[in-house]
Order: sequence, then structure tokens, then C-alpha cells
Amino acid sequence: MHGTLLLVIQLAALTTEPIVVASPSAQVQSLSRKEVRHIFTLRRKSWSNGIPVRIVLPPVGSSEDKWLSEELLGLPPDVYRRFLAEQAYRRGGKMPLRADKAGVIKTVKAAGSSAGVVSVVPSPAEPPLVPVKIQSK
Amino acid sequence: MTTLFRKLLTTAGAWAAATTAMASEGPWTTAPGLHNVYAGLFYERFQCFTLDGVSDPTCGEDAAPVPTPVQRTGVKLFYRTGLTSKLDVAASAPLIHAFSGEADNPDLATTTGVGLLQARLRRRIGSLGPLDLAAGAGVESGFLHRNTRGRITNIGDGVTSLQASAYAGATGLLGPRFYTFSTDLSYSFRLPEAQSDIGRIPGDELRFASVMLYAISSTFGLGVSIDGQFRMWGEPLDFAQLSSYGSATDSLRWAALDASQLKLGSRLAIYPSEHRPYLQLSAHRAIWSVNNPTDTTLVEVAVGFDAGRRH
Repeated sequence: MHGTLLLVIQLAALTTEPIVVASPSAQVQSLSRKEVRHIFTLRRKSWSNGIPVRIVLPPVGSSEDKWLSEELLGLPPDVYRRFLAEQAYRRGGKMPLRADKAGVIKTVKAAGSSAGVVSVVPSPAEPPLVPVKIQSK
Repeated sequence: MTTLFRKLLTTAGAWAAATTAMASEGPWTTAPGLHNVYAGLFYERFQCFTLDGVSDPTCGEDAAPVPTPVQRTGVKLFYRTGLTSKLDVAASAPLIHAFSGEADNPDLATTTGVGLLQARLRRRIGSLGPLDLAAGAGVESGFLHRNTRGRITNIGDGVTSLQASAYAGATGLLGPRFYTFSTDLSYSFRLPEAQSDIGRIPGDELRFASVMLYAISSTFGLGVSIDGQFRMWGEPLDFAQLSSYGSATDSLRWAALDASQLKLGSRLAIYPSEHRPYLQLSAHRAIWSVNNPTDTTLVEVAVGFDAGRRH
């Protein structure tokens, strides 16, 4: 009985799609796919309220990393990592933070402010991050 | 016929040294604290050049061959570092070895020395849509090879010039991969050394270099590039007129010529990793020329790495 329940839970976890989340300070409830692409390809630098966008990438090799690259951006994960490295190099910036297995919030807290954070996490959202609805257009 | 070839050969040497190792940098300035170093090996060869009214089975219409190919090989060092987050400085120096099959001829003597020394400042000036933009100013000089600039096997035309440059570039997603595009445009004011009926000599130049690189994987980028140099004015291809500017030694004849060239090429980039520097292989071929070689082939291998840390 326990084994069956565990299997059901594991299957549910496997079939649950990751979600885009943002910190409340970003004041964003929904984004278009184009906006999401602009954010995660470093083209969009700030939220509409002027707070800088702070991307926190999911751990390398995680299902969220794969979903972000392949589903949202249409790139193989290794090519997306190369793209970010090229962007950071060419624009004199730094690579976005990458969450460790402790989670996005612990990662950004360790790095300082969590204002303006956007990330991809397993559903449900890790409080206080709030889910961002992705509009199909 | 030999005399004609000799004259033709003399003309063919005109401008080829200026063709080495142009490359688009784009508008992306280096971060302060970082030091980019590139070292490139190149090989260049040509045998045909433009000559109106002449047809040759090897060189085609309006082109003629020279009896012995002119070849150049060398190494180019390039250094760049950031001064502020939007301002960087770069310098480059090539060491060139030029030779042909007739080393006993003073015009074709083997020449080894320092080519065109270049330095420039570049500043980011913002963006226009997806394009990042920068502007720059530079200086270049061939004073270290002035005494051999009259040779056909020259390593440059010995001129000193000032440049104003504009840079544009973009990166973005294209299908399941990403691209990087950059283009550099420069106007080169060449310090006058003589006066002619057509204006000050040497004539100014307009130059551009552009490259589009597509990441075919996380390791390899493949792309096309185009380089052009257009002299705004100069003497026509008149052997008597050109000879008035001197001969194999201390000559301004190649700098005085009205000459232009456009090269098209391809590039393979191997992106850097923790264990590997940036590597690049490129090959260019002349596709259009005026008073210049029509078959210039240029192959370059370059390695690039960073030192220091971003501030």
C-alpha cells in the first residue's frame, strides 16, 4: 500500500510541469512567452516598476533546467548555458545566479537581496516566490 | 612579355599587406579587470590581380597572373583590456614574413619585420533595438617597415593614420541555437606624405569588417565574415605615374595607388571551456578588387584567452 502511494506521488511529481516564479517585489502576475524569452536571454533588464531583473537559474541537469531551456526557450540546455556565457562575456556582466539544491530562496538570500528575482522551480512555488502565469501569446 | 609580367608583378604587390587579419570586434567592451589576449597565425597568398582588358585562363577576365606567387605568413598579437565598464583599449602588432620565388630580385626580396601597429579606444554608447552600439578612435602606423614598403614583398605601405570607428552587434536566439552578429566600420585619415593632382597622398580609406556566427552546438560556432577596404582616392594604374613615387626602397607607390578589395570568408569557432581557450579558424578569399590581387587567399588560426577578474 505504501509502495503504491509512493509510486503515485512520484508519478505525479514527474508529470507536474515546473513553473516560472518571481519575488513579490517584481509585481508581475503574468508574462507572455516573448517576455519570458527576453528575460531569460538577458535582454530585459528591469521589471515594469523599475526593479532590476535578477535571474536565478535552476540547478544544472535538473528537470526545471531542462524545461526552461527546451520548453520556454527552445534551446538544448548546454547551448543555453553557452549562450548565457557569451552574453555575460560580451556585455561585461556576470552570469546569472544558479540555485543549488537547497532552493532558490536560500540561494538568493545567501547572495544578498531577493528583490526582483525570477526563476523556474518545481510546482508548487517556494514561498515567498509567487507563480507567474505564462500566456500563450 | 617578361617586362609586362614584371610591371604586373610590381602592381600586384600594391596593397596586399594591408589585407591581413582584419576582424570584426563588435561593440562589446571588455570588463575592467579583464585582459583579453589573442594570438593568431596567418598565411596569405595571391597570384592574380586586376588588369582591365586582359584575359587569362587562370585568372579570368580583366585579370593577369604574376609569374611567381607572393606569400606572407606571420603572427599577430592582440591585447584588450577594460578601463571602465563602457570603455576599453586595445593594441595589436603583427610580425610578418613575406616572400616569393625570386628572392634575388630587390623588388621581391624576402622581408621580415613588424607590420602595422594598431591601438584604439572604444566606448559603448548604448543600444538601438537589438543592436548594441559603440564608437571608437584609433591610430595605426607602419613606421617600422617604411624602409621596405616599396617592395612587392612588402609587409605594409608604411603609412600612419588616424581612425574613427563605429561598431554594432547583436546576439539572440535563432531557431534552436543562437547567433552573434557584429560589424565594424572605420574611416581612416591617412597622414599626407605627398600632394598630387588628385589630392593628398595617400588617400583616405573606408574599411569594414562583419561577421555572423551561429552556434551549431555548445562547443562550435560556424559563420561567415566579410572584410572590405576601399581607398577613397589614389593614382590610377599607370606605371609611369606610380614610378614617380619611388621604387623598391623608400617608395610611396603602393600607398598612392587607388586600390580596393572585398573578401568573403568563413569561420569556425571553438568556444572556450574551463580547460580550453577560445580557438578560431578562418579562411577568406578575395571576391572583388580594384588595382589589387583578385585571388588573395588568407587562412588564419587564432587562440584567445582571458586573464584577470572582472572588477
